[in-house]
Amino acid sequence: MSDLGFLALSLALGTTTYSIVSLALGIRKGDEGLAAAGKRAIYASAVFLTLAVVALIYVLLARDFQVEYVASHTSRDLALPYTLSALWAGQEGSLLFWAWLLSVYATALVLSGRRAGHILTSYSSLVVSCVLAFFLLLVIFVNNPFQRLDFVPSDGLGMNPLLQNPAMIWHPPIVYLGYVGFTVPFALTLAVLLSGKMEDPYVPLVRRWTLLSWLCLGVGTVLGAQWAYVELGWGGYWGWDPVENASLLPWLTGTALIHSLMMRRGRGAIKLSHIVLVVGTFALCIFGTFVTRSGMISSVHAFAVSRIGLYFLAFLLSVVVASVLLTFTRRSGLRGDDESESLVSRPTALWVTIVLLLAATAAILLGTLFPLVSDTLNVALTTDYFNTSSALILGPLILLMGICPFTTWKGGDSRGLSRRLIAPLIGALVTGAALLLLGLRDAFGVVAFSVCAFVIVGTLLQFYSGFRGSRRGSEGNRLSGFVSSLRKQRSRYGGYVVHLGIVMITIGVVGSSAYKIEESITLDPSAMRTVGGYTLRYEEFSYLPAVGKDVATATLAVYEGGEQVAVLRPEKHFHHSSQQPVSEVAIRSTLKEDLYVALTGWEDASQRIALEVIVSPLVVWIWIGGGVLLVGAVLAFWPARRAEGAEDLAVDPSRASEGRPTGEEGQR
Amino acid sequence: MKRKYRFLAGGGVIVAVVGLLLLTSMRSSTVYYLTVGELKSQVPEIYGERVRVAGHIDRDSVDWVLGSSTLSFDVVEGKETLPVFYEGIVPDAFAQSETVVVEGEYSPDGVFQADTLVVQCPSKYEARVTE
Repeated sequence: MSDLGFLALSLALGTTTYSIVSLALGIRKGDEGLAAAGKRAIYASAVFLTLAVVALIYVLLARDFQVEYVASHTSRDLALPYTLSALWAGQEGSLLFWAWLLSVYATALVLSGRRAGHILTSYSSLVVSCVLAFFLLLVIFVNNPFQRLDFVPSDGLGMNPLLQNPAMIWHPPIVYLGYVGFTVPFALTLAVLLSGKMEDPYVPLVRRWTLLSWLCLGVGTVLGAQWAYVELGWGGYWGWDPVENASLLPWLTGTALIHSLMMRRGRGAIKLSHIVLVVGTFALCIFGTFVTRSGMISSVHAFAVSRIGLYFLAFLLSVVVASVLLTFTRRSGLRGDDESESLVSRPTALWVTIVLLLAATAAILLGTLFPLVSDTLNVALTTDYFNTSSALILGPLILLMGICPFTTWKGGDSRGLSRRLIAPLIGALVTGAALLLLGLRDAFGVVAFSVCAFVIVGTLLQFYSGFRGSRRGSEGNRLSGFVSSLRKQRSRYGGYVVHLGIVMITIGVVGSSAYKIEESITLDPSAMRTVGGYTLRYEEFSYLPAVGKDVATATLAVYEGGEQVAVLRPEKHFHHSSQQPVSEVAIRSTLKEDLYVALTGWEDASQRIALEVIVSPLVVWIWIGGGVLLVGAVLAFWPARRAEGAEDLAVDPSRASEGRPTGEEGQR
Repeated sequence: MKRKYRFLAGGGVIVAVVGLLLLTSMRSSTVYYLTVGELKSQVPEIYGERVRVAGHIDRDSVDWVLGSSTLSFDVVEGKETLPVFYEGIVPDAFAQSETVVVEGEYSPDGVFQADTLVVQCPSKYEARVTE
């Protein structure tokens, strides 16, 4: 079966090469038939790559330990879901999975462009095929997942116990969906530049692809944070590790890209800002893979840099150089950004948003790359750098999120703007005063929560004015009128829902970072101890064998205000296949705060236990915010119904009303 | 012309803000990053300064004291040995890790008092299959 998998990979490389050659020739000679054959070859690549993935899943499930990848990442006692997730647990499998996703995206790209029959489809298929060829070369010649050992091990090494967590099933493929997805906007952008069709509508072409990839990257990142919170046992969810930054950076530039796509004077033609942001985002996705796979940046001293990092670096450089050269040759055809007569206007607000997002990206990127010079300078950056710089840059951005929806496209109406901002301002002041009365004394928390209140009131006002405004438009009751206007302006209201999600995440981050209580305690049997309003009573301790591991469990009764509110059982697992113990923390989660307890050690004789107890306020809002972000992005992404969306690729119906709060462009 | 101007202004803001941040954080959020040998050669000026030290863990020296939740172990680099005292959560991956990065202060009694302990991300450990 592994031979079949490798054969499928080789065939995929063959068909991809064929599609590159025939697309290039077809475009050059203006031969439609040749170009069409090249596009059909992409379907074939997708089929062969699907076969290769199926083959790898088959050898994983069959536990064919002669295949090195299977032996390195699974074992006989590994549960079925994790055996399947081994597909992306290692480097070889991840690359194959990446190539397969890309081939699926490429197929979708060709299919969506079929009716349009556009020359852009040929060009973008060509670009995607080139990227696909790069990954296939890596999978076949550098990191072949079907590599066989010259002996058959009796059992595999097993999967790292830390990776055996439900979040690890969903987190990597969703992040990959985002990473790989940004290839499509990149390909479409290069297609526009290559073909010179600079006047054609560009925004509707890339908007949905961008939203989809951005959405996956964002949700995947939140899931990754949740995995760290639940699994790593230190009570945090974000450590500014290069691997985490690798998914945050393209998400930030992707956010900037989405906002630049809203500025669409000049019939949505391509602009320099679009090119910079699309290429930057794609380059950061590749950079992310480079960081996570090369081990170059997080390495301390002795870790060998794997060869694959160099290939990614070379690929990254060629992407950037090619894009810059191409943009330079087409510079005369580029349109300017929105010119606004007034300083206080939507285009200015969007422009500031983009600049702030890029500043945050640059600051985090510099911090991430800093370890490269740490050795020579004998100096290292602490996480304080990331915390301060992101708070300083992203704080004003969140405030802007509350102002921007009230600005108008034409601008100039400063007095009207300040009148409309009165209600959010009152919301912010009331919140600030209430927090001061409740006893909050630190400036950071009070200011941050007041800003959040400002944005929430402002965003809800947008929905309210939509609700009031819909009365005039519809015959039926207000609500159905509102729902139909929500439908018509999906992307606008979807964007506001995303904003609410971001505010919720901010509230969670501020609460859990500024007001966290953390204590290391030791308890003798039936002793009690109070941490941050919770009293813990140590009930019992057990050490029992389970399937493939031994489990130590401490049972604690939790009291709040004299009443028992929960029983927590933090555990420590000792897997037989690995010397590394794994903490299974116990969490009591409420909307107000999380009580987080980890078992850090015990004495057999006295049964005395050591615990790490953390009270983390509002942390659950990060996960809720992630969910809200998902809902909002799906709302913005969801295609309009067929009847409305007949023109589909050419003109995206939702764009007619997007971002125009007053509906200047009329409704369909 | 106006477009160019706007891009330049935006770029200028980015560069200025990031440059300013990097400069201010240089003062407040950097620590010395030294090897064990370098640390010992900078005595006594280094006492009381925040330092990050990387090196190999001497497995035989690892000791965890329950009552005080303190971990003690030796960091080895070449011929130099540095005894480390760490108070805080011990990452699960510490049990299997060969190397460690600790942050804290070096005290005149020859012990490194650490409050931060970092080991490599588990996904980087890929043991080789052997017969």
